[in-house]
Amino acid sequence: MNIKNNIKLYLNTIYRSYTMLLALIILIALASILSHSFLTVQNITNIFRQVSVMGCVALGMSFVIIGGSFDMSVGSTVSLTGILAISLQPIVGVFWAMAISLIVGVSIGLINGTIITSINGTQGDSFIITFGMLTVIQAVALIITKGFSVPGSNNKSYIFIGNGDIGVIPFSIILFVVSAIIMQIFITKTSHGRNIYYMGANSEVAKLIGIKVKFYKIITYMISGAMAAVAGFILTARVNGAAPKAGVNLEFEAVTAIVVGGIGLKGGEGTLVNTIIGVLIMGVISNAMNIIGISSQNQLVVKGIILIAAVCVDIRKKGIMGEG
Amino acid sequence: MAKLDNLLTPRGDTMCDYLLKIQNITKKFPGVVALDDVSLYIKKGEIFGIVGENGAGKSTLMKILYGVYKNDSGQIFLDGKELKNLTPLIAQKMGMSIIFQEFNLLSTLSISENIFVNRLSFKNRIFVNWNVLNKRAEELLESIGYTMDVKRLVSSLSVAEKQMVEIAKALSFNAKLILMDEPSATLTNKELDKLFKVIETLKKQKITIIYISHKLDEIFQICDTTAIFRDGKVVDTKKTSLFTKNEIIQKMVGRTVENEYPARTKINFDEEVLRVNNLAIKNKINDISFSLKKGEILGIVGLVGSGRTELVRAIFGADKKISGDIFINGIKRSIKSPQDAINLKIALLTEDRRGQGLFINYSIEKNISSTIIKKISKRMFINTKLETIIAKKAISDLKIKCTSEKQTMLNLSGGNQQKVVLAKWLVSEPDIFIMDEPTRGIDVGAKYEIYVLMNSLTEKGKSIIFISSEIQEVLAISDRIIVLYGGKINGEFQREEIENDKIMKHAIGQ
Amino acid sequence: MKNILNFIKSQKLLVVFIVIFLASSFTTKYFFSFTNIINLLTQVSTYGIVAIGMTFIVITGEFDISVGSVMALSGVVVVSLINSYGLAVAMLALIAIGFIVGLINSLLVIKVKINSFIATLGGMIFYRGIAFLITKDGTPVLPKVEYYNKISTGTLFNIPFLVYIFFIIVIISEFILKKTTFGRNIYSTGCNYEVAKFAGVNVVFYKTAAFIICSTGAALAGLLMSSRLNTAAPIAADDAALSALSAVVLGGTSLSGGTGNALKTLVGLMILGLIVNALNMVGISSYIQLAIKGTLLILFVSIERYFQNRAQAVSS
Ligand SMILES: Nc1ncnc2c1ncn2[C@@H]1O[C@H](COP(=O)(O)OP(=O)(O)OP(=O)(O)O)[C@@H](O)[C@H]1O
Ligand SMILES: [Mg+2]
Repeated sequence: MNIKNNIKLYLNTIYRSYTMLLALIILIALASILSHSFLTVQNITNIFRQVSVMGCVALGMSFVIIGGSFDMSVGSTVSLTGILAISLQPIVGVFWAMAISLIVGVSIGLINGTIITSINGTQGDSFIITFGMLTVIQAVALIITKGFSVPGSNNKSYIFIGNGDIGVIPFSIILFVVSAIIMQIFITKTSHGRNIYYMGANSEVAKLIGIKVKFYKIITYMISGAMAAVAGFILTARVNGAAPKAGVNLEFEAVTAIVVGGIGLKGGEGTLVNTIIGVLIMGVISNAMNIIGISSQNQLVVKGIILIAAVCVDIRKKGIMGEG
Repeated sequence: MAKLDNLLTPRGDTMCDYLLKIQNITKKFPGVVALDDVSLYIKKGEIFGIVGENGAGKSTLMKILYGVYKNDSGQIFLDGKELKNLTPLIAQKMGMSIIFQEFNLLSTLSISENIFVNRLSFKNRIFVNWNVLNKRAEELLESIGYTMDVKRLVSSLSVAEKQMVEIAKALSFNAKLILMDEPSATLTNKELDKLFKVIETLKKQKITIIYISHKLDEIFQICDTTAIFRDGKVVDTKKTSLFTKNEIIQKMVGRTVENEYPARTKINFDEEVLRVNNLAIKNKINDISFSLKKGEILGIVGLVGSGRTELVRAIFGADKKISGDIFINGIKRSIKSPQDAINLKIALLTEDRRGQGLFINYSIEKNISSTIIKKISKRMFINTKLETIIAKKAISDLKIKCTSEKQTMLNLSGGNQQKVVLAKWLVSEPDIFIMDEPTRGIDVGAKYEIYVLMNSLTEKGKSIIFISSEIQEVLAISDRIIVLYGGKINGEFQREEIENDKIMKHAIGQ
Repeated sequence: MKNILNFIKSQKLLVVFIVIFLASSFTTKYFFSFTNIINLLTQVSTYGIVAIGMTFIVITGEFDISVGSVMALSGVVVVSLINSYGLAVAMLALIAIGFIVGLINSLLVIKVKINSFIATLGGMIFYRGIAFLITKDGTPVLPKVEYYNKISTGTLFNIPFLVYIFFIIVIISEFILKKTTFGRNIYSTGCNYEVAKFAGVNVVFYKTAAFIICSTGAALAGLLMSSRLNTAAPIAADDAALSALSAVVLGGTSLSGGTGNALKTLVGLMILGLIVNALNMVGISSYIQLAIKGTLLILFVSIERYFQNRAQAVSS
């Protein structure tokens, strides 16, 4: 009886965590049938390359969402850190330029987190506050650049971040995957990660068992800011230049990927595996449509449908959880 | 049997005296049979008690009657008509109302709106006349002896106040059958008296009530007939007066319980572990001072609104205090947050288990380990094997009824949820336990075990502050009692001075 | 005196609004002119209608971010139809769009149980796609009938119809939400879906209704916007959802559902509109404007929450 139960429970968990994987596989299968050039090594690396920027943003944001808040400010954080990383290079050198940008990204998170925790903000508050922050940082990026793009530095090691390969694998993919693995281990295996879950599940209960809720909230925002900076590096290194609006809408795409991957917006659930699957689904959809040659107007319609269809695979999982 | 009834009812035979007939109901959840072929016959105008261990299936039956769950098999007849495809709305229309075991209130809305939810318009079903609505809500609350500003939001109410709103809501339907699932669990004696008066009035009006409680005295006091549940089955039903208390307990838990309360050995308490001096909380608590000794159980008694919960929350650092000093082991400490308190080895078991005690969507295991997550981690990494071992041990120690330690809290019965709250603090091994209603919703057998547990904790040198609205248990197991009235201490009693009447008098301010 | 204080305490945002309003009037002469005020009201009216619709859906605890695309779609469809079939057909189409979109959204959210963010995001992409398809290569459609432009811009007492329409909608919505069982059940549904369901509230109906109200509002706003601009572009209103949501949340409606009302949203809207308008008047460069706008947004939410927390600490 007990063993049977455990097996049942186990299958249930697998089913819950991997329904979206199924959706991804179906999408990939469909795309490969529709186009022969889809399932090639070249194209797969391409997809990863395309999603690594948004993917990094989504990884960081997942922390915030699991912790029960929103971070809408990441889009312009990507722009700003990218601009700083590029334009500071001639002055302080690559290392310091990147270090400073990273610090800026983390500081933005620190500011977000500090404001939200010091007013005891709700989830809705975090949405508006980080949205306000998005606007402010966008303005800063525009003011610094006076609205113009910043040309790249031609520094080989910097460009390597966006375009280099290690063996056959692009460096940006490695960066994304390694970050993902480290972050996944952190949030699922460590006590700090668990505390973030507790906070997201019910911050009142978490507070009453002595979890430093404010501290962890700020940490999630700092991680999100840091990952936005990393995304900024990859983005500006790949196109070898920075633009004040380069990151527009990234926050939106990242939230989408996260939710498509199966992480609920109310906090305290899901892991980065969900995020990665969501990111890949979004990447595969765009890539496949380009390869198959759907016109950009039709792409919108198709994308909308596929998005919903992909999430529909998730239904029965929700059904199970919603019972009772 | 079922067939026979079907034949009998239409002809108006004996069976027609029964308002509600429940026949051969079975309900399975993954891994448990919550109800196993349950049949009950309930007469019109009767107060029908149901008792049973935690997880015996009482609430599940109520939810089936009210159309929240669907039974797997079996039939329900109300007034001779079979109820099929029940939903809460149909149940309402058929003349039923319910007080759920867990609060079912809309926290962002006002009291009056909660009472009349879905029936806000008295005239044309379109427009809401707030004046009339509020007035009716006020009247209803007054009829159960409560005056409240009905425009207040439910989120601002205390647990007992919420319960009164639930009761008012159940009455507002003018139902002919009222299901009450542990309505008294959150009430103090004073409110309970009011509830009983209401129930008596209802009985005179020939209204039928199903009354679930773990407090057997109540069952003997008001129930005409009582059914005993055990593991999803009805083990006995008869007139309450034909039962003895011991018989009920024995049938419920499968063994006899000699005394309701374990004996407490009197020790001399000298070492002071906690001292509170001149504590004040805005609008709630006024200049309270007391001390707690090592190995002592200090009971706090007071009516709803006397400030019991506020007092202990402030000590624990969960709420702000205006003034007051706290000494732990003789050293003055500033406790500004629960964290500070926990570092000083204080634990608070909150009274509101859903809102403040549990991660309701998480597993039992994750809830139990939540207080010790740092301790069971090595260099940040959680030792999940240890986590499971600890959870399993707690489950067997406290006899938590579940399918496995991975089961989500949401699917546990109310009493078993309460045990998990207890478990999560026990594993953190604090020195001072503040227990706010630790036995709420827990069955007789398990209660006894909890008292024993409290005894053994104090024997190990731990100290306990014990709050309960069930005054008997506070009187029975406390070494000393302080009585709160209107945010002030109104009397303190040593064990040998403890007397029910005397304490009640102090509690109502005399 | 105490009443006034209480009012200020309970209506902080309104007070903020009045303060900015007065400050702006002092800094620039033109601000407090009739034309400018009307200008401000006209500016907020189209997104305002969307925001009011959004209020309904946020009260039920859901989002609808497809509103911008619905606006674009309805604009394109209505203008195309009006050109060939006249007003009646166009209006029917508008209602049909609002109804069908709302129905689809609610179906996905309630029956298929997709998170409303994603369900409406899919819709957002999809409906805009259709708007593009209808216009063939994405070029805006121009109305060929004279009166179309007048629907929004025609005036009564020098105030554009658009503004009247908006305020009528606000008043009706406020009335529905506060004084009707329909409105109250929307709150119950949003406060706690399960609890409302157990209380016998037809939660499916009310959630569906809220989705339909929201998308119909967006469809109407699409018509009014294309009328005001005298053109309907498939790319129009891409920031509608976020702007409307900001106004709703800034007004104090919680994203977790069960609270809020139309007047609050109106105040939120006016503050956002006022900031843009005032900054324009003062003549600050657009980048700095952006920075100020963001900062003020953060400031308002923080102040509001700060006072709310204090009030709660005192009362409980
Ligand atoms: N939604 C559910 N899913 C799975 N199991 C459930 C669900 N609801 C109840 N159960 C299980 O059914 C059994 C009966 O639960 P029920 O709530 O009816 O107990 P109870 O008699 O009311 O107990 P208590 O006195 O603790 O309130 C328990 O073992 C419980 O874990
Ligand atoms: Mg129960």
